[in-house]
Amino acid sequence: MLKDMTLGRYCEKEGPLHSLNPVVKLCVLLLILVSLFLSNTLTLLSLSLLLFTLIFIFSRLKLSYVFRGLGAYFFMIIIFSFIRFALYHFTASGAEEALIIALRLLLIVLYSSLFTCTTSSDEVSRAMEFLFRSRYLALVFSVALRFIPVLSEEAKKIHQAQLSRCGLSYAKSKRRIKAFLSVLVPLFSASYRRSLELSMAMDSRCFSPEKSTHLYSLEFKTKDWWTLIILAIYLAAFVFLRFV
Amino acid sequence: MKKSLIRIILVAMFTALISAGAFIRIPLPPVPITLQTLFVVLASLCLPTSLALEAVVLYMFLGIIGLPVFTSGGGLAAFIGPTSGYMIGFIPAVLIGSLLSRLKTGVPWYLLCGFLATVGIYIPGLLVLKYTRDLSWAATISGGLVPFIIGDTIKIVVCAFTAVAVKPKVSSLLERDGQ
Repeated sequence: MLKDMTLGRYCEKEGPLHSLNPVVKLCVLLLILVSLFLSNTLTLLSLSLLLFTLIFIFSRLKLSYVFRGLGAYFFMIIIFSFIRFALYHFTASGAEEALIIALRLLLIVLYSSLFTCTTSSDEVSRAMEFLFRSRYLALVFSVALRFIPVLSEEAKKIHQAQLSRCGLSYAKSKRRIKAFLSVLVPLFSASYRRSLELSMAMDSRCFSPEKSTHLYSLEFKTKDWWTLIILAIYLAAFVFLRFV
Repeated sequence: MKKSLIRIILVAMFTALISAGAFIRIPLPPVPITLQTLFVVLASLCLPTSLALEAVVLYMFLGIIGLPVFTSGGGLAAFIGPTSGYMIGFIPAVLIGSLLSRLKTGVPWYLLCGFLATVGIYIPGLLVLKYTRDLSWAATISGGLVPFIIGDTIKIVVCAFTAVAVKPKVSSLLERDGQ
């Protein structure tokens, strides 16, 4: 289950992209994703590919870090683009459409992978707090992130335990519902128990959704401003090519 | 309104359950199903509208920034493919389920709420599937709905029974918290 999830993992390393302000990184990611969503020509996508190459060189990350766990995506991208090619009856315009869809999907995944490689979950939560002016959202985000692996492991254990007891039999519809419940009920009660424990632990440590201070404040350094300038140039070029 | 820790934990718990549900695969015939939509419907039945919506939107945000929480992995790519409509349908599903489940309680009513919430997932899902792949309605329904009918029926039944047991606990927690 979770051991196969190599994509989306933070890569512990000192690098120029790692030390960028997470607010800047999150803004850059969201704006680039929106631009990719609106990209409908190969020129626009090439511009985005060029930007990705520049960022990647700047990040000094190994290619394997960004590309790890992308095998399934490549397969999905090939399928999607082949379907698009087939819809256009294998013509030249169909090939262009297929290339556009493949490049767009690939770039979306690569940008997201680069972001999660270089930004820890704590940094994302700080960035959310800063951007949305909401400590509540940031807390929900960080608690959810810590819950996901715990619950996935719990679900895996329950599923294996029920399998070893032959509890998951799918022969009759009544048994199918029982099979479902045999996984769902223990999973739900475990998550409920953990939630209560967590809320008590957080309460006793004076965690509060109200505004709080941090040991290290988020600072905008020179390289963050340079990143925003490069993003502005990219967006200006994008708007010019797309809408003018 | 003060947003307390219980609210935070409940939203986070349901977000995590929806995310974990995407990876719990139960091999039912004719197609294996995941528990993802079950937790979306369950969130809509058990949580107040705002919290259920927050849980689903947060789940989508986690996927959009690249965390592998969607069944197809992570990233905005999940919102571009032919199956993106099902993901978008989580929002109407949560709204329908939670607004209706406030009106009455009991298994038959929750069965109806669960059914309508599931319809809320399928309508955008089938529309996007039809128009992105340029399929006929018959082909769209036979590929995008029929294989999942058995699994979804079971999910709705399970959701209704679970919601009857879980909702009072969630409500008492929220009341205790001064909502």
